[in-house]
Amino acid sequence: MSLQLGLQIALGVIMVVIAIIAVEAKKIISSVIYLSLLSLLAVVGFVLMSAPDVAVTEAVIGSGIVTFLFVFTLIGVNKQTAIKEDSINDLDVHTISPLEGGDIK
Amino acid sequence: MKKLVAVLLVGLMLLLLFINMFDGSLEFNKMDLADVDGNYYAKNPIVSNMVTSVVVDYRSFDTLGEVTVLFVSSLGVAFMLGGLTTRIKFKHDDSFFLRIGVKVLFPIIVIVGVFMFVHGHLTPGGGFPGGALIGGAMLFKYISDSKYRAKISAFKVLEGTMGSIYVLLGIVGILVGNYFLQNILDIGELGNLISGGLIPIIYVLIGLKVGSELTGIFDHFMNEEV
Repeated sequence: MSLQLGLQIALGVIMVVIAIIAVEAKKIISSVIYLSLLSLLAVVGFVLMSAPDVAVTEAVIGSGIVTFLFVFTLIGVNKQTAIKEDSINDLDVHTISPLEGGDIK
Repeated sequence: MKKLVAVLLVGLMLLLLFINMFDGSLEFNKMDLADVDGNYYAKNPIVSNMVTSVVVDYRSFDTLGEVTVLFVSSLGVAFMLGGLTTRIKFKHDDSFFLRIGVKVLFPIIVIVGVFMFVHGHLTPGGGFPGGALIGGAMLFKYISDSKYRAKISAFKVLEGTMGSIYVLLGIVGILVGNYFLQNILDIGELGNLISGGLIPIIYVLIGLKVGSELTGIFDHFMNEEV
Protein backbone atom coordinates (compact mmCIF):
# COMPACT_ATOMS: atom_id res chain seq x y z
CA MET A 1 0.00 0.00 0.00
CA SER A 2 1.52 3.28 -1.05
CA LEU A 3 1.77 6.26 1.25
CA GLN A 4 -0.77 8.29 -0.68
CA LEU A 5 -3.38 5.56 -0.57
CA GLY A 6 -2.85 5.20 3.17
CA LEU A 7 -3.24 8.96 3.63
CA GLN A 8 -6.46 8.95 1.61
CA ILE A 9 -7.93 6.08 3.62
CA ALA A 10 -7.00 7.74 6.93
CA LEU A 11 -8.49 11.02 5.71
CA GLY A 12 -11.70 9.30 4.68
CA VAL A 13 -12.07 7.63 8.08
CA ILE A 14 -11.48 10.94 9.90
CA MET A 15 -14.02 12.67 7.65
CA VAL A 16 -16.69 10.05 8.37
CA VAL A 17 -16.03 10.37 12.11
CA ILE A 18 -16.28 14.17 11.97
CA ALA A 19 -19.49 13.95 9.94
CA ILE A 20 -21.05 11.70 12.59
CA ILE A 21 -19.91 14.13 15.33
CA ALA A 22 -21.46 17.01 13.37
CA VAL A 23 -24.78 15.20 13.20
CA GLU A 24 -24.73 14.20 16.86
CA ALA A 25 -23.49 17.51 18.32
CA LYS A 26 -25.68 19.00 21.06
CA LYS A 27 -25.31 22.67 20.10
CA ILE A 28 -26.07 23.77 16.57
CA ILE A 29 -23.05 26.07 16.51
CA SER A 30 -20.67 23.16 17.20
CA SER A 31 -22.36 21.28 14.39
CA VAL A 32 -21.63 24.20 12.02
CA ILE A 33 -17.99 24.32 13.08
CA TYR A 34 -17.62 20.56 12.55
CA LEU A 35 -19.09 20.99 9.06
CA SER A 36 -16.46 23.67 8.39
CA LEU A 37 -13.77 21.24 9.57
CA LEU A 38 -15.21 18.57 7.27
CA SER A 39 -14.89 20.95 4.30
CA LEU A 40 -11.31 21.72 5.30
CA LEU A 41 -10.46 18.01 5.26
CA ALA A 42 -12.25 17.65 1.93
CA VAL A 43 -9.82 20.27 0.58
CA VAL A 44 -6.90 18.01 1.57
CA GLY A 45 -8.68 15.11 -0.08
CA PHE A 46 -9.12 17.02 -3.33
CA VAL A 47 -5.44 18.00 -3.36
CA LEU A 48 -4.47 14.36 -2.80
CA MET A 49 -6.66 13.41 -5.75
CA SER A 50 -4.81 16.13 -7.77
CA ALA A 51 -7.84 18.37 -8.36
CA PRO A 52 -6.52 21.79 -7.27
CA ASP A 53 -9.32 23.73 -8.98
CA VAL A 54 -11.98 21.99 -6.92
CA ALA A 55 -9.80 22.30 -3.80
CA VAL A 56 -9.54 26.09 -4.14
CA THR A 57 -13.29 26.43 -4.64
CA GLU A 58 -14.05 24.15 -1.70
CA ALA A 59 -11.64 26.06 0.56
CA VAL A 60 -13.20 29.43 -0.23
CA ILE A 61 -16.86 28.44 -0.40
CA GLY A 62 -17.19 25.31 1.74
CA SER A 63 -15.19 26.31 4.76
CA GLY A 64 -15.39 30.10 4.45
CA ILE A 65 -18.62 31.46 3.06
CA VAL A 66 -21.02 28.66 4.00
CA THR A 67 -19.83 28.80 7.63
CA PHE A 68 -20.43 32.56 7.69
CA LEU A 69 -23.93 32.18 6.24
CA PHE A 70 -24.86 29.46 8.75
CA VAL A 71 -23.50 31.41 11.72
CA PHE A 72 -25.23 34.66 10.85
CA THR A 73 -28.49 32.88 10.04
CA LEU A 74 -28.30 31.28 13.50
CA ILE A 75 -27.70 34.70 15.09
CA GLY A 76 -30.69 36.15 13.22
CA VAL A 77 -32.99 33.24 14.12
CA ASN A 78 -31.83 33.41 17.73
CA LYS A 79 -32.59 37.11 18.05
CA GLN A 80 -36.04 36.71 16.54
CA THR A 81 -36.80 33.81 18.89
CA ALA A 82 -35.61 35.88 21.83
CA ILE A 83 -37.86 38.75 20.81
CA LYS A 84 -40.89 36.51 20.28
CA GLU A 85 -40.74 34.29 23.30
CA ASP A 86 -38.98 36.74 25.60
CA SER A 87 -37.13 33.78 27.06
CA ILE A 88 -34.52 31.65 25.41
CA ASN A 89 -33.59 29.43 28.29
CA ASP A 90 -35.38 26.31 27.09
CA LEU A 91 -33.78 26.36 23.62
CA ASP A 92 -30.62 24.50 22.78
CA VAL A 93 -29.46 27.24 20.42
CA HIS A 94 -29.26 29.98 23.02
CA THR A 95 -25.50 29.89 23.45
CA ILE A 96 -24.75 30.77 19.83
CA SER A 97 -22.20 33.48 20.11
CA PRO A 98 -19.32 32.82 17.75
CA LEU A 99 -18.12 36.39 17.72
CA GLU A 100 -19.27 37.64 21.06
CA GLY A 101 -18.24 34.90 23.46
CA GLY A 102 -21.39 35.09 25.55
CA ASP A 103 -25.16 34.92 25.39
CA ILE A 104 -26.97 37.11 22.92
CA LYS A 105 -29.25 39.56 24.64
CA MET B 1 -40.22 51.20 -22.92
CA LYS B 2 -38.33 48.64 -20.85
CA LYS B 3 -40.90 45.96 -21.69
CA LEU B 4 -40.65 46.81 -25.39
CA VAL B 5 -36.85 46.47 -25.33
CA ALA B 6 -37.14 43.17 -23.44
CA VAL B 7 -39.67 41.78 -25.91
CA LEU B 8 -37.51 42.90 -28.86
CA LEU B 9 -34.39 41.26 -27.38
CA VAL B 10 -36.20 37.99 -26.68
CA GLY B 11 -37.67 38.04 -30.19
CA LEU B 12 -34.25 38.63 -31.73
CA MET B 13 -32.80 35.78 -29.67
CA LEU B 14 -35.58 33.38 -30.73
CA LEU B 15 -35.24 34.43 -34.37
CA LEU B 16 -31.50 33.76 -34.32
CA LEU B 17 -32.06 30.42 -32.63
CA PHE B 18 -34.63 29.36 -35.24
CA ILE B 19 -32.48 30.53 -38.14
CA ASN B 20 -29.55 28.59 -36.73
CA MET B 21 -31.62 25.53 -36.00
CA PHE B 22 -32.58 25.00 -39.63
CA ASP B 23 -29.26 26.16 -41.01
CA GLY B 24 -27.26 23.32 -42.50
CA SER B 25 -23.93 24.92 -41.67
CA LEU B 26 -24.44 24.33 -37.94
CA GLU B 27 -21.54 22.41 -36.41
CA PHE B 28 -23.33 20.11 -34.02
CA ASN B 29 -25.55 18.71 -36.73
CA LYS B 30 -22.59 16.77 -38.01
CA MET B 31 -20.90 15.97 -34.73
CA ASP B 32 -21.44 12.48 -33.39
CA LEU B 33 -21.69 13.04 -29.66
CA ALA B 34 -21.04 9.38 -28.90
CA ASP B 35 -17.48 9.81 -30.18
CA VAL B 36 -16.69 12.71 -27.85
CA ASP B 37 -15.31 11.43 -24.58
CA GLY B 38 -12.91 12.86 -22.01
CA ASN B 39 -9.90 12.02 -24.16
CA TYR B 40 -11.12 14.41 -26.86
CA TYR B 41 -10.77 17.33 -24.46
CA ALA B 42 -7.40 16.10 -23.20
CA LYS B 43 -6.02 15.83 -26.74
CA ASN B 44 -7.36 19.22 -27.92
CA PRO B 45 -6.71 21.67 -25.05
CA ILE B 46 -7.59 25.29 -25.71
CA VAL B 47 -5.55 26.65 -22.77
CA SER B 48 -2.98 25.06 -20.50
CA ASN B 49 -5.45 24.59 -17.61
CA MET B 50 -7.49 21.73 -19.03
CA VAL B 51 -10.38 22.18 -16.59
CA THR B 52 -10.79 25.77 -17.78
CA SER B 53 -10.75 24.74 -21.43
CA VAL B 54 -13.66 22.40 -20.71
CA VAL B 55 -15.56 24.72 -18.37
CA VAL B 56 -15.28 27.97 -20.32
CA ASP B 57 -14.86 26.80 -23.90
CA TYR B 58 -16.36 23.38 -24.62
CA ARG B 59 -19.06 23.70 -21.95
CA SER B 60 -19.36 27.48 -21.68
CA PHE B 61 -23.15 27.31 -21.83
CA ASP B 62 -23.17 25.23 -18.63
CA THR B 63 -21.08 27.92 -16.94
CA LEU B 64 -23.66 30.51 -18.00
CA GLY B 65 -26.24 28.32 -16.29
CA GLU B 66 -24.14 28.15 -13.11
CA VAL B 67 -23.76 31.93 -13.07
CA THR B 68 -27.54 32.18 -13.50
CA VAL B 69 -28.06 29.88 -10.50
CA LEU B 70 -25.91 32.16 -8.34
CA PHE B 71 -27.78 35.20 -9.67
CA VAL B 72 -31.14 33.64 -8.79
CA SER B 73 -29.96 32.78 -5.27
CA SER B 74 -28.73 36.34 -4.73
CA LEU B 75 -32.10 37.55 -6.03
CA GLY B 76 -33.87 35.31 -3.54
CA VAL B 77 -31.80 36.61 -0.63
CA ALA B 78 -32.51 40.19 -1.71
CA PHE B 79 -36.22 39.34 -1.98
CA MET B 80 -36.39 37.88 1.53
CA LEU B 81 -34.03 40.19 3.41
CA GLY B 82 -34.19 43.33 1.24
CA GLY B 83 -36.58 45.18 3.55
CA LEU B 84 -34.16 45.20 6.46
CA THR B 85 -31.92 48.23 6.67
CA THR B 86 -30.45 48.29 10.18
CA ARG B 87 -26.96 46.90 10.52
CA ILE B 88 -26.68 43.91 12.87
CA LYS B 89 -25.15 44.80 16.25
CA PHE B 90 -22.40 42.75 17.86
CA LYS B 91 -22.27 42.55 21.61
CA HIS B 92 -18.61 43.52 21.78
CA ASP B 93 -16.93 46.70 20.61
CA ASP B 94 -14.78 46.69 17.49
CA SER B 95 -11.47 45.00 18.09
CA PHE B 96 -8.56 47.30 17.32
CA PHE B 97 -6.30 44.44 16.24
CA LEU B 98 -8.94 42.92 13.98
CA ARG B 99 -9.58 46.28 12.32
CA ILE B 100 -5.91 46.99 11.63
CA GLY B 101 -5.27 43.39 10.60
CA VAL B 102 -8.12 43.50 8.11
CA LYS B 103 -6.76 46.80 6.75
CA VAL B 104 -3.47 45.02 6.03
CA LEU B 105 -5.05 41.80 4.73
CA PHE B 106 -7.82 43.30 2.58
CA PRO B 107 -5.64 44.42 -0.37
CA ILE B 108 -3.67 41.16 -0.30
CA ILE B 109 -6.83 39.03 -0.45
CA VAL B 110 -8.31 41.17 -3.22
CA ILE B 111 -5.09 40.94 -5.24
CA VAL B 112 -4.99 37.14 -4.81
CA GLY B 113 -8.59 36.99 -6.01
CA VAL B 114 -7.86 39.17 -9.04
CA PHE B 115 -4.76 37.07 -9.82
CA MET B 116 -6.87 33.94 -9.58
CA PHE B 117 -9.41 34.98 -12.18
CA VAL B 118 -6.95 36.73 -14.49
CA HIS B 119 -4.72 33.62 -14.54
CA GLY B 120 -7.70 31.24 -14.55
CA HIS B 121 -6.66 29.75 -17.88
CA LEU B 122 -3.06 29.07 -16.77
CA THR B 123 -3.14 28.07 -13.10
CA PRO B 124 -5.72 26.34 -10.87
CA GLY B 125 -8.53 28.61 -9.86
CA GLY B 126 -10.78 30.69 -12.02
CA GLY B 127 -13.71 33.03 -11.96
CA PHE B 128 -15.72 31.42 -9.17
CA PRO B 129 -13.02 31.04 -6.48
CA GLY B 130 -11.47 34.40 -7.42
CA GLY B 131 -14.78 36.18 -7.11
CA ALA B 132 -15.56 34.34 -3.88
CA LEU B 133 -12.20 35.49 -2.46
CA ILE B 134 -13.10 39.11 -3.25
CA GLY B 135 -16.46 38.57 -1.58
CA GLY B 136 -14.66 37.09 1.44
CA ALA B 137 -12.42 40.18 1.67
CA MET B 138 -15.54 42.35 1.79
CA LEU B 139 -16.90 40.03 4.49
CA PHE B 140 -13.78 40.71 6.60
CA LYS B 141 -14.48 44.44 6.28
CA TYR B 142 -18.05 43.89 7.51
CA ILE B 143 -16.96 41.81 10.51
CA SER B 144 -14.14 44.11 11.61
CA ASP B 145 -16.04 47.40 11.50
CA SER B 146 -19.53 47.53 12.99
CA LYS B 147 -20.49 50.65 11.02
CA TYR B 148 -19.10 49.62 7.63
CA ARG B 149 -21.49 49.60 4.65
CA ALA B 150 -20.35 48.82 1.13
CA LYS B 151 -21.87 50.76 -1.76
CA ILE B 152 -24.28 48.00 -2.70
CA SER B 153 -25.94 49.93 -5.55
CA ALA B 154 -22.58 50.19 -7.35
CA PHE B 155 -22.02 46.45 -6.86
CA LYS B 156 -25.48 45.74 -8.29
CA VAL B 157 -24.72 47.82 -11.39
CA LEU B 158 -21.39 45.98 -11.80
CA GLU B 159 -23.10 42.60 -11.43
CA GLY B 160 -25.80 43.36 -13.98
CA THR B 161 -23.35 44.82 -16.47
CA MET B 162 -21.00 41.84 -16.27
CA GLY B 163 -23.82 39.30 -16.67
CA SER B 164 -25.24 41.18 -19.67
CA ILE B 165 -21.82 41.36 -21.34
CA TYR B 166 -21.44 37.57 -20.92
CA VAL B 167 -24.78 36.94 -22.68
CA LEU B 168 -23.96 39.54 -25.36
CA LEU B 169 -20.64 37.78 -26.06
CA GLY B 170 -22.66 34.59 -26.61
CA ILE B 171 -24.94 36.35 -29.10
CA VAL B 172 -21.88 37.79 -30.88
CA GLY B 173 -20.73 34.18 -31.20
CA ILE B 174 -23.96 33.36 -33.05
CA LEU B 175 -23.69 36.42 -35.30
CA VAL B 176 -20.00 36.03 -36.20
CA GLY B 177 -19.51 32.30 -35.90
CA ASN B 178 -21.79 29.31 -35.73
CA TYR B 179 -23.18 28.77 -32.26
CA PHE B 180 -23.90 30.44 -28.92
CA LEU B 181 -20.76 31.42 -26.98
CA GLN B 182 -18.39 30.34 -29.73
CA ASN B 183 -14.75 31.27 -29.09
CA ILE B 184 -14.43 33.74 -31.95
CA LEU B 185 -11.06 35.28 -31.06
CA ASP B 186 -7.62 33.98 -31.97
CA ILE B 187 -6.54 31.25 -29.56
CA GLY B 188 -2.85 32.12 -29.69
CA GLU B 189 0.06 30.25 -28.17
CA LEU B 190 -0.59 27.70 -25.43
CA GLY B 191 0.55 28.93 -22.03
CA ASN B 192 0.76 32.68 -22.68
CA LEU B 193 -1.13 35.12 -20.48
CA ILE B 194 -2.93 36.53 -23.51
CA SER B 195 -4.16 33.35 -25.15
CA GLY B 196 -7.27 31.26 -25.33
CA GLY B 197 -9.39 33.85 -27.14
CA LEU B 198 -12.50 34.68 -25.12
CA ILE B 199 -11.58 32.56 -22.07
CA PRO B 200 -9.69 35.23 -20.04
CA ILE B 201 -12.33 37.84 -20.85
CA ILE B 202 -15.15 35.54 -19.72
CA TYR B 203 -13.29 34.63 -16.53
CA VAL B 204 -12.76 38.30 -15.64
CA LEU B 205 -16.49 38.89 -16.22
CA ILE B 206 -17.44 35.88 -14.07
CA GLY B 207 -15.01 36.87 -11.30
CA LEU B 208 -16.35 40.42 -11.00
CA LYS B 209 -19.94 39.16 -11.19
CA VAL B 210 -19.50 36.50 -8.51
CA GLY B 211 -17.62 38.92 -6.24
CA SER B 212 -20.29 41.60 -6.41
CA GLU B 213 -23.10 39.06 -6.01
CA LEU B 214 -21.55 37.57 -2.88
CA THR B 215 -20.96 41.05 -1.46
CA GLY B 216 -24.66 41.78 -1.97
CA ILE B 217 -25.62 38.54 -0.19
CA PHE B 218 -23.31 39.37 2.76
CA ASP B 219 -24.73 42.87 3.03
CA HIS B 220 -28.26 41.48 3.22
CA PHE B 221 -27.25 38.91 5.84
CA MET B 222 -25.68 41.67 7.97
CA ASN B 223 -29.04 43.40 8.39
CA GLU B 224 -31.57 42.71 11.12
CA GLU B 225 -35.07 43.64 12.08
CA VAL B 226 -35.33 46.60 14.39
